[in-house]
Amino acid sequence: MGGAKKRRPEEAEEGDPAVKRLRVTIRRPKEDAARDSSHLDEWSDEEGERTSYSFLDLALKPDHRNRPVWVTPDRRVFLESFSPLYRQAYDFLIAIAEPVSRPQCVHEYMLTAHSLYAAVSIGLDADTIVKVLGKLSKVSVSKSLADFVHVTTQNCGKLKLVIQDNKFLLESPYPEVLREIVKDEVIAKAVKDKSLLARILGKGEGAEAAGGGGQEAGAAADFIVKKDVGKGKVADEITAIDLEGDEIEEIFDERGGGKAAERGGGFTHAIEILPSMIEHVKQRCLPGSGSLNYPILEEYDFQNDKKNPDLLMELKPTAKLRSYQQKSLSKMFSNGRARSGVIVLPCGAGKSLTGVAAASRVKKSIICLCLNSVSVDQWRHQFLLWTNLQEHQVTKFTAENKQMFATDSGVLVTTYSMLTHEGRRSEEASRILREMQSKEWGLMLLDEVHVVPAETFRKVIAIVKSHCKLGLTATLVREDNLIDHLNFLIGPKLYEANWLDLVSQGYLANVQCAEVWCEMTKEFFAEYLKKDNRRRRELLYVMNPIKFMTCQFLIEYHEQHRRDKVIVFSDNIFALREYAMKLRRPFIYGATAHNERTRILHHFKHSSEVNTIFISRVGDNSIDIPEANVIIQIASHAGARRQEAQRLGRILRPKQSMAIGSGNTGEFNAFFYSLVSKDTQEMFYSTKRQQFLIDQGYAFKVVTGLLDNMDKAEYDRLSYSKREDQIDLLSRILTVGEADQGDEVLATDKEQQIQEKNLLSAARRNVSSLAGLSGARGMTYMEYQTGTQPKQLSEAQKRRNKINPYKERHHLFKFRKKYQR
Amino acid sequence: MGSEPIWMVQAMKGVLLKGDIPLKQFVISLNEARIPSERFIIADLDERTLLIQPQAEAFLQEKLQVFVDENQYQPPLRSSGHSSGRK
Repeated sequence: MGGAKKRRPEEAEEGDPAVKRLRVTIRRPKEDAARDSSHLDEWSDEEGERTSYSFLDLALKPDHRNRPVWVTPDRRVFLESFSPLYRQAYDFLIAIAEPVSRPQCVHEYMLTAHSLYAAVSIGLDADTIVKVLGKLSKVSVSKSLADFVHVTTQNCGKLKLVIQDNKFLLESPYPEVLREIVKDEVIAKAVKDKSLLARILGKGEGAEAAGGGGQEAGAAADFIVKKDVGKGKVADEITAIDLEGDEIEEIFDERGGGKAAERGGGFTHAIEILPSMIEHVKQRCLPGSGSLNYPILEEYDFQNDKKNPDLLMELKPTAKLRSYQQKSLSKMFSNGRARSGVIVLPCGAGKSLTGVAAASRVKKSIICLCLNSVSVDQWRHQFLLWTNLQEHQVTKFTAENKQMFATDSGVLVTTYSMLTHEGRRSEEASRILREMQSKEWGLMLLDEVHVVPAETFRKVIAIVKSHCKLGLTATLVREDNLIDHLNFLIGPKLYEANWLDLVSQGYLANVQCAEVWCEMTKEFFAEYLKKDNRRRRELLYVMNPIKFMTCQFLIEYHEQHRRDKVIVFSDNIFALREYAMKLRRPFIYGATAHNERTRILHHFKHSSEVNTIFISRVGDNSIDIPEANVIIQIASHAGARRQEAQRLGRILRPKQSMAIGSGNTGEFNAFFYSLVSKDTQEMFYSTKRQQFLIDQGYAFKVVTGLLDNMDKAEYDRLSYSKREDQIDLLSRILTVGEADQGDEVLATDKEQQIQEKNLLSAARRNVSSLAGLSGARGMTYMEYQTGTQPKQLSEAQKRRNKINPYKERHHLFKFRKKYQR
Repeated sequence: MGSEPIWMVQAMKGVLLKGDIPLKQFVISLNEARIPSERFIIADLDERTLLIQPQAEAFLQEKLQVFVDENQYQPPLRSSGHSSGRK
């Protein structure tokens, strides 16, 4: 590898006809890399034999009992969580590898190019990684693995993207790197100064300004040359990792010194890039086959940024950061600069505080992007709660209030949809948008980063110029696997907290997850199997009477015996209403009026009479759901993993009576029940949804026959225990109209729906008879709803539509009769 | 050829199928789906038992297996050792 590099400058001396040949030369490192990695694919041992999944022949070190980690040649790492070195090993492994599965006893991680790129961007280098892995591992690290680490990281950290004077610059201390990548087609298109590009390609020889003593040269030099800002003390980072053992610390100190020597003489060279091509450039440079393998770091030197106005904000003394929050921030701010990236913390673990703390370190203008207006309110509240900012410095930009802070710097909280809105805007909104575009923002906080599709992101990043981007999320999974895009749109994953650890430390509730299997009754199952009823299947397995009885039993048990607060989730509106009305509990869904929602939620939080509420999908995002101890899921959307994880987030707060940090590992204080009907499609979907949680370490207990051992009197008390009632229910279900029987469709879901629909089968086939089409199937009455559900009006529209009798009307029209509605 | 006396017993060989309630419903639905000449249920004995024709047994096994597999989700086997792409 090193040999190939040296050869290039000499060959570059040839004249124009060599341009083609140069191109060929450049391609070679990629080919080498490809060849190397394919070699690594086989992860054969020294003899060249292919060893598949059996690692019995790896030699254990003599003191292997003291070491917590297994490293296999296929780049998997296994960590024993019961080892005394677990804490430190975990912090190190999470920095260099991606977690695959983290159950209670043994964790599995995977070393990938992306994870190594993230490791390098926080300051570790290949030698350190391999050495520390070797120290921690029970078996010696195989050569192929060590090579893999070296190959993938050798080009990391050589390219940086910075914003200066509203321009995007690609800078590097090694001018030959710049020259090399500029020859690539995609990058060539992105370079702003075309004449510069022509000169580089034409000459072939690097005509860098000789010496260039630290000034922004214009046309004289080929690249913009300036003095290197200096990487700062990298050793700061090391203490954050904090591994035990003197030998290990020594290694780190050595490395800290060595790094400075590599710097190319203290100058950085830069090219300007067109803002619209930023993302393409980043993607092109990523590691991986077909790309240039020079991953770009994005760092923001906020301490030395004199141009942008400071925002004087400090965290209040009451804001105490927990250990995992501090760790994630240290990964972001090591070496004195702010890195862009994503922090993954579970729901309820204090993501907002982390974001606010990051903002108060940067101390420049902050823009915060959320999903909806409820989140906007919450974030603004958090900013005011934890810092000493004044009310006028933190403003909201939503459909209802459009404000911008009047001072030079401040915090603006807004939603993704506000920025990416395609249609016409009001005058005020356009004004604020222009102001946003002209500013240089210090930090962009991106909340719930996993929900936002790549398209929206691109638009947002094109509109708002921010030096540093921090993504916050609880679940980094998406069904459509667009997570990879996040890597280069925002940045690498900086830190991911372990849910089980947080539980054992008492920050999260100890949740008992159970899947309760309910049998289908004879009649219901017979109907389920009929071909005619294919559309109604969901309704049938959701309205299963046995499931109903189970739900009722669980609600009553938790309310009476444990005095818990229970939330029941249902995606299916028909079921929601049926259940709630039969059991006489309040329910909230899309069509519930705003003030009724607030009333219900208020009673739920404060009154001891309302202990159970039924909520539909609105509860997933747009409502400030109060905390509860028990969640029962009766109907769930086909297979979305993240939905289940988010619902779990609702209850992942320890019960008030328990002190935080008391760490009861034995006792469960929160429950998550998923009711499924046996022998139906629901079992399939339910298991799929649980995959994510299982990987996080939650074990799903299966409970069957919950109602089997009940005494008869109690059983009879439950609704639908009698056969006549069941048959009655069945006949009602069979006559439900098409539109009512499906899941709720929220206006905000459109994009996700389209994505998810594209994943499920593109074509649908229905079996029906001609007689059925003409109405002769024996149904006496069927209700159809043509068109979509009634439009969900926003608050402002509702207000406008309402007639205010005599109040708040212009005095000239006060007594005029408006037309009666 | 004389007509047979009406008190002659007709014997049919059958297979007794015992299961739980959903299973019986499933078999019945399979039965209904076939044309009358191919139906295999001889008698419906009680909530959990059926008498069916012997040749339908293998067919039933197969159908049942397919049905059960449909309702079970197998998480995809995670492959390791692939080149640098993220899972």
